[in-house]
Amino acid sequence: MWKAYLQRRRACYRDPAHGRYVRRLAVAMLLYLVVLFAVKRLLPLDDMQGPLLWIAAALPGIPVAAVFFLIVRYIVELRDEYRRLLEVRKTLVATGVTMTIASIWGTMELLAHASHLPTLYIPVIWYLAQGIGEFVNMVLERRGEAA
Amino acid sequence: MKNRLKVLRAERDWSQQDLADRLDVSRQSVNAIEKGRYDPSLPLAFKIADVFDLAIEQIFTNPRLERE
Repeated sequence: MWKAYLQRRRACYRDPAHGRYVRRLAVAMLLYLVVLFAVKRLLPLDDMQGPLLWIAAALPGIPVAAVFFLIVRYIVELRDEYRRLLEVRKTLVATGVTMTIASIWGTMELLAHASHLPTLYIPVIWYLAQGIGEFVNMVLERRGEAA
Repeated sequence: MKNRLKVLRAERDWSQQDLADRLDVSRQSVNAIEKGRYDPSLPLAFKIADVFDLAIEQIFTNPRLERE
């Protein structure tokens, strides 16, 4: 099971789209850190208010949002159509898992006074849920099910 | 969709990786197509036919005929 999984990961690395995705992701994450640092350390957030504060606070979120566009671009640029199908399935599983968590936690917040889940956690959960998508792919491939 | 990829590969003494290199896809793609887990797109099916110098229907079984 793991051998097949690792072979698939290695095959993925050979696709030029993967290298481009990793480079773009690194730039986006670096931008996130730089913008976050700049906003928190260089701007007087405590003294700011109104639209200016909103814009300043939203800036670090832009590189995080960019990651989702990078994933879409990666899927589109993949040369290997079977690999593309696996990536789409992985993304759909991650979306389903994240929306399920968000929906259930949301109703728990409304009706059971569960502690508030910051919305910034949603993209983080989605990104982590990609691992579940990868696992689903691995299991379905192992079981020999039609894609 | 059933196909004769494995037989055709064996006739030419090609590994899955050899075929994957010729098709510019991953070995996993060849494996999935060969085992009938994934039906290739029409452009890829034509590419496979070109690599083996055969017609598509000489490689892939018509699903309608499969059921009969």
